[in-house]
Amino acid sequence: MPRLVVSHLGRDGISAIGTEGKLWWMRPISIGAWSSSEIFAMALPSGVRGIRRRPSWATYNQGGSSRTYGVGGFTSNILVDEHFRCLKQGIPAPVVVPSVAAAAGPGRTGDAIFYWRFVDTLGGRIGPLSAPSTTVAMANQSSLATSLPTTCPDSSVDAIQQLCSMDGALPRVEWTRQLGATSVTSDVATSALGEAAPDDFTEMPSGIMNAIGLNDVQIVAGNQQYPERAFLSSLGEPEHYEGVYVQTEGEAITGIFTHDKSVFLGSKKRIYVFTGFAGTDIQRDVAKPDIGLLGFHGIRNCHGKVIVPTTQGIYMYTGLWNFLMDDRQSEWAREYATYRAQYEAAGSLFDPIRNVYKFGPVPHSEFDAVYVYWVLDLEKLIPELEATDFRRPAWRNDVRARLDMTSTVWELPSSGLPEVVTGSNDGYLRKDNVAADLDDDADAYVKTLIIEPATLAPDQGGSLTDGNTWHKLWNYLVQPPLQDWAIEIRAGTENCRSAQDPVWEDATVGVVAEPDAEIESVVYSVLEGVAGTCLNMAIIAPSPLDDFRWRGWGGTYGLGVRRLGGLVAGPGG
Amino acid sequence: MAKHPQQRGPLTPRFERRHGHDQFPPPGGVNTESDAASIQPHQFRRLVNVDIRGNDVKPRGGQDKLHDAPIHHADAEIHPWGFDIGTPMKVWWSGAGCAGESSITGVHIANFDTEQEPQLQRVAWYVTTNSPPVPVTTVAVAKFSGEIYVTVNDGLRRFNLTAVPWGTENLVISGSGQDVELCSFPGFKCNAMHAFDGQLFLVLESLANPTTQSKIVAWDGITLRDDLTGLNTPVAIGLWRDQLVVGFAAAANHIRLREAGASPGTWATVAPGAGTIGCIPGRNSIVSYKDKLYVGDPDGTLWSYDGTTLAVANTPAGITILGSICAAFGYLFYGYTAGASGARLGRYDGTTWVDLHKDFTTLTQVSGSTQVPGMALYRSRLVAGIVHPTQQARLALSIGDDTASLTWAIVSNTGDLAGVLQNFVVM
Repeated sequence: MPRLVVSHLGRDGISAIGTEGKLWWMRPISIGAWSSSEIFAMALPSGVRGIRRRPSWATYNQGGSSRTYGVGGFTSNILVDEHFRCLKQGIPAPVVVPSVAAAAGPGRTGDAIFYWRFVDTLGGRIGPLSAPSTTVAMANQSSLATSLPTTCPDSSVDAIQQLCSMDGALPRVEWTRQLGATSVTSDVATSALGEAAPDDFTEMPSGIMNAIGLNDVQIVAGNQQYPERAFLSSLGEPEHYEGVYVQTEGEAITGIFTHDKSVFLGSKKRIYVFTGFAGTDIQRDVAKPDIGLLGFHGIRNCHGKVIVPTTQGIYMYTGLWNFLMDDRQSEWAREYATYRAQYEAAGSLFDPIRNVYKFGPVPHSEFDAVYVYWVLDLEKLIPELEATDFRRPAWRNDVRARLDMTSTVWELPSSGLPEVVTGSNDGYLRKDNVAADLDDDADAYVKTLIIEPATLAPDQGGSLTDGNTWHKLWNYLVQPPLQDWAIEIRAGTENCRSAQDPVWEDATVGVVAEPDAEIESVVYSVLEGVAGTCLNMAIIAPSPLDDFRWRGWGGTYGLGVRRLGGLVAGPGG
Repeated sequence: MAKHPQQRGPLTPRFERRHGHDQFPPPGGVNTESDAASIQPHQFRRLVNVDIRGNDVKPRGGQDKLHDAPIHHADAEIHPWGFDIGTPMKVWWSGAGCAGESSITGVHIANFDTEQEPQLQRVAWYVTTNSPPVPVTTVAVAKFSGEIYVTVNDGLRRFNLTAVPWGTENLVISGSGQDVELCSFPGFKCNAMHAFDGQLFLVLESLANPTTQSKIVAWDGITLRDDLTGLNTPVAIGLWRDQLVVGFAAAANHIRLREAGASPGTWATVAPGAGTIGCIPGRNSIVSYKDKLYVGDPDGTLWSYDGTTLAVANTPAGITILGSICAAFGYLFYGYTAGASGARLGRYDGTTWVDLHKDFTTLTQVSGSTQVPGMALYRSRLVAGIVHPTQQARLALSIGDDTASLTWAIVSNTGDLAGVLQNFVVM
């Protein structure tokens, strides 16, 4: 698996207005780093420039050719082929009318109409036919083509073909010549004409999202002129557009995904499902009539299930729609309303190493000046993984100060070892899931770990005035704490966690373990008389060591007078 | 205040929320839907930058840079993508000896693929053929019907390639035992072969009477048939305008062309109007470029044929050995030796011949290199086999289409490559 990288340099980084876009490739290596000299620029096709947005890619392997089709990050739809060429999707047709006359025989007999088309012989790609020639009456004569085009705007084109329709039959290949020939005489017999031309086609309309689905069809959507349409390529020919499209009821398409043989198109209002092969065979149904699809890049296929961010929360489509955000729906709605644009443009990742789905990066009102990922634990979710809590998906967050652009999974050829890599806005690719890294490569948030369990609210006494005095608590760590970490305690009402400042806090200094020393892994804290009906604890560990493992907590308290929180005089427990 | 972990009075209730202990469930997820005091005890109000493994909450892994300097710019936005390549694509060649084994004994076949590790892999080393043992002196390589074919002396073989584990060299796990012999042609050796018109054509040199009894044969996957016999020594093969082209030793002074679909034995003969044409043996001397056929002559001449006239197109100044020619990036490249030594690359754009396009001796790792006997366009890079008089041969790869650049990648990571590298074929 070669690694492709799109880089966009916006006006912040260059003096000119606009975006400078480049494409790079690097060969797979197992672990470790590339020298910059091993990162190779891949020339964009002539006339194609970068657009400062996340590109969409769809890979299609068939018949010995391996191609990945990119839209959205460039001014034209592109592809990268097995020869590591970056090409514009769709070869243009010759713009001239073929100049062909009957010449000396022997040759063919009948009414002939001639066409020319360009060919990329290295990639086995053909362009559409030119306009037809005038009809040439041939009487056992050869054909003489003159004024052949010797150049093509598409640099991948290296040959030109002449096709001939005899007496109204399909045009068939008569000859192939490398570009450079200006005239060709051909005496190919009618019965010896070659392959017939496919139906008329053009290049795929431009878009910002694509997918391969509906049985080997490239689906492109996000066209500015026709935002409600998804354009379908010819079967098995992802570059060829024959005029087939499907559409919503008028809303702009916000995302595409495939599941089994179906293709789903989402708009801000609803989600549609399409099945079939092509043309009139395609059937449209409404899959979710009142729920809109948030954005294309947030959709991710995980374990054969599709995680779908919507305007109301995140769903998992398994053939049935499963809502995954019972525990955080209000938070999602609030954050989406606050940061609409960022949520609609957010990306996603299926991280097979952590076995999580990540949505982001997005701002979050509970975190200042950092970027948040919504992280869904798939291990607890997917039935095939013997999920323990399928009906209550487990969410958490990753937080980083650096703005990431796109994450993806790279694998080695002939190996299943996955590596998660993330590109950021500082020109770097970084490998994720590095256990030994403490601070996300010097990120300003220093990978700070926060564990805030459910607030403790014990049964009360017999009176509204009853409360608790919190004497001690302890945290169960699997290993001795070798690093500095902090505990913050808030006490008071059930909403005590919202207090600005903790009523008690303690920074625990990491222990430098001596060899074979027995160090207690249960860390005790004496709370110095913290009082309140409820108790909230948060553990905060900046730059945490990988061996910091928390397994739970416990404590003791005494019944007392109800207080709204704070310290109370008196001995501990 | 001193801590008294076990101190506990009679009116001090105790709470325990130890995951996985005493039926307390494993850690759940974040729940912000209800207030923090009413969510389930195993859930959390905040879980940031953690992973859950069993009953443990632990820090998630961090990030490390993958390269030593920014890509594009320090403010560039980076979007990676993994591109799964289905069918492998490699550049293959043959060479004398075998790297790490012998510089002269036998013939080896190797390939280069950016999608394998090591990139450069020895695939087979042929030292002797059996019954009776005969030293291997000639191999040819071709792709036919989607598979790799080789000839070893007088035998046609097909590789049964299997996927090689990452980090392992093909030769280490298979040696020359991964091929199957399909047929033999006693009394001949194969100088080159090429798939064409649904068959694999082999140009065979008679060992006894090379100038009168050599021949061209065709393999259709089942049967080997004579296509043209009684020939002077055929040495090279290529394609042009839907035709198969065979080049010969200078004594023949012609080339021959076979149309697709033509009856067996139907070949046109084209001789130059002036001069004597010979052809560099192998797969890298007959090239189609801008609708013309170019033939590399071992005497240093580049011939062209436009369908009418076969004539001298260029003779690089000071040339002593013409090694190989290749069409790439819209140009015709030719590797040659200037003077007594000095491996060079010339370039032709259809109008102008630039004989000194690239001097390989300026590359530090191959300074003193003398020959360029093989070339191919591989994955948007020009790949050249470079021969050195005192060191072993190496592979040079251009950085994209910038073939004039000072920077070419030099590869020889499995020990030094042996002997002359030639017959470059991409498949």
